[in-house]
Amino acid sequence: MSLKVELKPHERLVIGNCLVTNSDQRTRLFIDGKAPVLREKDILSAATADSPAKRVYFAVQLMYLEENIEKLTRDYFALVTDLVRAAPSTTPIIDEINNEILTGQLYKALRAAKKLIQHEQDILANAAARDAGLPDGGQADR
Amino acid sequence: MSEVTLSKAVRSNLLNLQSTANLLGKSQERLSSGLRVNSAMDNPTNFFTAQGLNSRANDLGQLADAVSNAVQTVAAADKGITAITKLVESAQATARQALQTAAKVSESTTTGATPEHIASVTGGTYSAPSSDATLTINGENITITDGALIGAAITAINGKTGDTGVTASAGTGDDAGKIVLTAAAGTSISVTSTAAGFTSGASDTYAAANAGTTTTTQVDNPKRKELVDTYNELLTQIDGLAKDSGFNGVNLLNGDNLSVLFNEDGSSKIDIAGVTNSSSGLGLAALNDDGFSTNDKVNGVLDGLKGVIDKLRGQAAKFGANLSVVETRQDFTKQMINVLQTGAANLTLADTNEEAANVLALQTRQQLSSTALSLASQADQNVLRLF
Repeated sequence: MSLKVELKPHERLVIGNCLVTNSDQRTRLFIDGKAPVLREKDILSAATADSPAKRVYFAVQLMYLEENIEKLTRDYFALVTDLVRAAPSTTPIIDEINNEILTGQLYKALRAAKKLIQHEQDILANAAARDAGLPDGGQADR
Repeated sequence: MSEVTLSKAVRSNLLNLQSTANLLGKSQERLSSGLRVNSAMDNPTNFFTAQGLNSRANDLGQLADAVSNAVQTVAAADKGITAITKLVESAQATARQALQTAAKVSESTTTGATPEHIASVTGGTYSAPSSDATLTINGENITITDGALIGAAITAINGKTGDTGVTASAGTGDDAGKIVLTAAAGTSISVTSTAAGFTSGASDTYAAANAGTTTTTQVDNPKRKELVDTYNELLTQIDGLAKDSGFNGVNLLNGDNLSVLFNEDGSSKIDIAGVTNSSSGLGLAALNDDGFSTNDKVNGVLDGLKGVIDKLRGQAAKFGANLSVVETRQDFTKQMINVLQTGAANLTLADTNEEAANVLALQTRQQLSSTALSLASQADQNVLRLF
């Protein structure tokens, strides 16, 4: 069954090694085959991957796009180990990501990594929210 | 004071660091104020989650052991193929050596050859004649005088040697007391009177040496037969190797298959199909004695061996690829266990505020880390550079 993707005007999409950019009208694409497909909203660049969880996501995204786990294993585990040390509550999500990578389901791993970013934001938001009770807490929540 | 000019990239990095430092400061302040959110004491959920993580690490550990056995099995098969390839190469060398020796060698046989026959007649026991006796040898009459002893008779015969071509001598051994007549080469002896122990009609014909008929035929080179034996011996060794290439009871070169599980429920696995690499499995049959008798036959064998080498190289590549997949997974599983254990060890002590502070500190640290740099450079090498 084809993968159905609907693109907004000027929205971009990665298919395999190619970047597809929509023109100025909505487009519906049907994609068959095995190449990795990633929507613009799911793509992080080296510059936008600026938090520990986002960097993990970025590493998984590279694995998915390159269809190669081995090349990134070292960097990936360096990131993951750091994150687990800093925030042990991320371990169950990271385990889920690991399991998907191990079984070769890299798209699912990417979806799990998205949960990790959410979890990281929750941790930071939680800490920041409690800030409200303290005097001089002027910084905006992340 | 002169101004410091900052590039755009450095400026954005600095801004980033500033905001991170702000957040970090606040988290630490809260920590020191004792406003802990989720302490280990009042959070049994974390405790049980940690337990779950630990037991999963154990499960994965058992899986990793099985995977490590699989690595050994594939490695044993890989080594076996290398060794078998060498033996097949030796078989190739043997066949090539056969090509370099002549297929046929000349063999001479001589039939009907006879040596020279010198005519010789031995008389009966000599007794001295009671009256003069005449002994006729080759038509010459020789008179043996009355009462002549054997010595005198011999002298008498030898006196005519010039005419008869026959020399007389006294016999020895069994022939003692007899006169032995020996003709010169080319002369036959014919006695035509009865005297001096000889009977009329005793004769012996000279026969010249006969060289016989020599025929030269082309026969199979026995050297090639020896090479056939060497070749067959190599095939036996291949059979032995194929049988000995297993690990832990699984021999991928003897038709066993291997299934390597990567996760607990077996939904992710790799099936490695075994091969049969005995000589017959490879399509190599033992040769008959005449297996190398012609160059065509040798070339046929060489063609077969070439095919086998190609087949073995294909197998080695396949097993090598499988080995690398399994090893990658093994490495990954080990790292996963590590992460789970690290996480579980710290989870019971986790505190949201502390985590937030740690995450922010990590964020700062990572901006300067080589890992971030390495990721960025890898992104530059693929489709992400287009963003």
